[in-house]
Amino acid sequence: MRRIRTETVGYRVFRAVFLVFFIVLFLFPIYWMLKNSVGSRTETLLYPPHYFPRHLEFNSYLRIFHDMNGAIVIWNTIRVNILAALLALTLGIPAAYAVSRFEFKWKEGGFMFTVLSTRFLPPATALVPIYFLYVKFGLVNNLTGLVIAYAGLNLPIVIWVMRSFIDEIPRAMEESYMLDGHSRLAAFFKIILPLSLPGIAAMFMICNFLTWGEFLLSAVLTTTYTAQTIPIAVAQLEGDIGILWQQICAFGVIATVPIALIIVFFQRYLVRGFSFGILK
Amino acid sequence: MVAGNTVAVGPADTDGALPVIKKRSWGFLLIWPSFLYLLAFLIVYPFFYNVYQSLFNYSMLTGTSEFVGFANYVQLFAQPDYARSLYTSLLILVAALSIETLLGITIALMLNQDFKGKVLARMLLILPLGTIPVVNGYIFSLLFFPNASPIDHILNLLGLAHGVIPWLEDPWKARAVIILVDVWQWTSFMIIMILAGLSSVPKSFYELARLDNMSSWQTFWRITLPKIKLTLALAMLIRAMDLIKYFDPIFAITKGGPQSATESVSFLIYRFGFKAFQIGYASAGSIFVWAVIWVMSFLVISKVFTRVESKA
Repeated sequence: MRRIRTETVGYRVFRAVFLVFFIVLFLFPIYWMLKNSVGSRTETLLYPPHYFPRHLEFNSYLRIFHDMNGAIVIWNTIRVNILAALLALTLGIPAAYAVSRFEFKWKEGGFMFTVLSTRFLPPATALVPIYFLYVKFGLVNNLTGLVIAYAGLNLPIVIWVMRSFIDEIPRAMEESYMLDGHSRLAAFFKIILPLSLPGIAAMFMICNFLTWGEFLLSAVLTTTYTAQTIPIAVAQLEGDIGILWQQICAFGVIATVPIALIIVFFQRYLVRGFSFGILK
Repeated sequence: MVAGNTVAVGPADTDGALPVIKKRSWGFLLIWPSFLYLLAFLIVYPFFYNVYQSLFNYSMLTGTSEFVGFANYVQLFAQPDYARSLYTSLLILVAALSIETLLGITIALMLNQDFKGKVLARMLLILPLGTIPVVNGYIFSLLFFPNASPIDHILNLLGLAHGVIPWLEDPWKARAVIILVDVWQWTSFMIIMILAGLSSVPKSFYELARLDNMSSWQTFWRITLPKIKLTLALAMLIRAMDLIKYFDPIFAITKGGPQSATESVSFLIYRFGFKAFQIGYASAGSIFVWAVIWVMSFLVISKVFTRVESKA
């Protein structure tokens, strides 16, 4: 490929140094988490610090599963996130289809912007109302309660992003199918859903990415490990007797791997998810 | 032609649909399940519940409520806590957003050039996005731990500091740490958003700039920036809205301290609602934040979104 602008050697060196500096800066906290999850307990708060662990031990990982119901917490997190994503997709895709294909009053200014505004409201401001609602319906410390709340967080983004995916499917495809005597419902299931499947899959991953680390709602809405998710379990390692740094780091590593993978493999769709389907 | 129930001969259509497809149908009913879900669960119910609670003093002990009128609102603005938390949130927002934007633009412009290892560099630079805010909070408390901070150690080695730096005891240093956690995680967000914007600038534009003998600086201001302006506005808007919610790392690192210097408005609502159990006060605080966000929604968000959409 031909270079558009001939870069001076000085600039190229500057760019390399600049980028390497920021790569080191960006990776250092992640490295520190990894290092402390496998280092010994005495090394964590040592000064001057050991930048490389002298002894490797994997106790902290074992203790998460032995002493802390780690497996249950991880399983909770996976279930809550997947179910919340599915619920949001089930509610959101039909709405996105309607917005994409039909004209009705108050569509953009009314419906779409009300939907959007819910994404921007700080969850903290709905904390007290939702907590008391959940107390009334027995949803506190209940996975169903978390699923309902997380689906609400996902829904605005699902509607906006899926609308952009469905907009890309030519109307002529479903219309010619309907001209063959099929109903719109059949066209939705036979044409729209299969054609937007890559979008749905990407959206599913984005939903999981968005709620995986959610902290505030589940901190308030759960009380014991039976319904807790990883971020809350991590915060609970800060107890009265001190902070269990190694376990925090080990849990952090376990929790980071899945979403880091989403980042790497779904890069292309992340921007679309972040921008409500506007940037493709 | 097969005559199905849903296919009817109608008047000529205006937006490209075939005239035989019935246009007005049950379709728009599909928005109602999700609309009701969001409206009831996230807007109408929380709003009226907050309004109701803000007029009462609820006692956890007896489970009874006492009507106090606007006393909670008076308390909200008479005591320094609420105003201070708004100020802190605004400070975090402005500082974090400007650093993330400047750094994001610089790194994205570099990653948009051709060089060896570009793909790897991009992957490594967006990795912080795939981390969990509350975990990051704990990692950064380790990094800035009093008497055991590797950051202190490195700064001492470089001769930039002497001895222990009281990161979490000094109000401004604690704020800096809180801002740094956000900058660390979300600069990556700005990078990938701006890269997406840059990919829409045709390479030929740069060639023309070169033929015109424009400097890199001029090229950026006259060609690149106008082209990515809307993407940038969108990214900054999303980031600003998320910074208003800022909570998790504060919970992990400072719990709002020292001397409430890092207490964001979200943290204040949480503290009053679930630690001090002053539900009415927390509700009044929520209502005010809502009012601000709604006004912003209609003034800013709708404009940015319609403009970006029409250009995209």
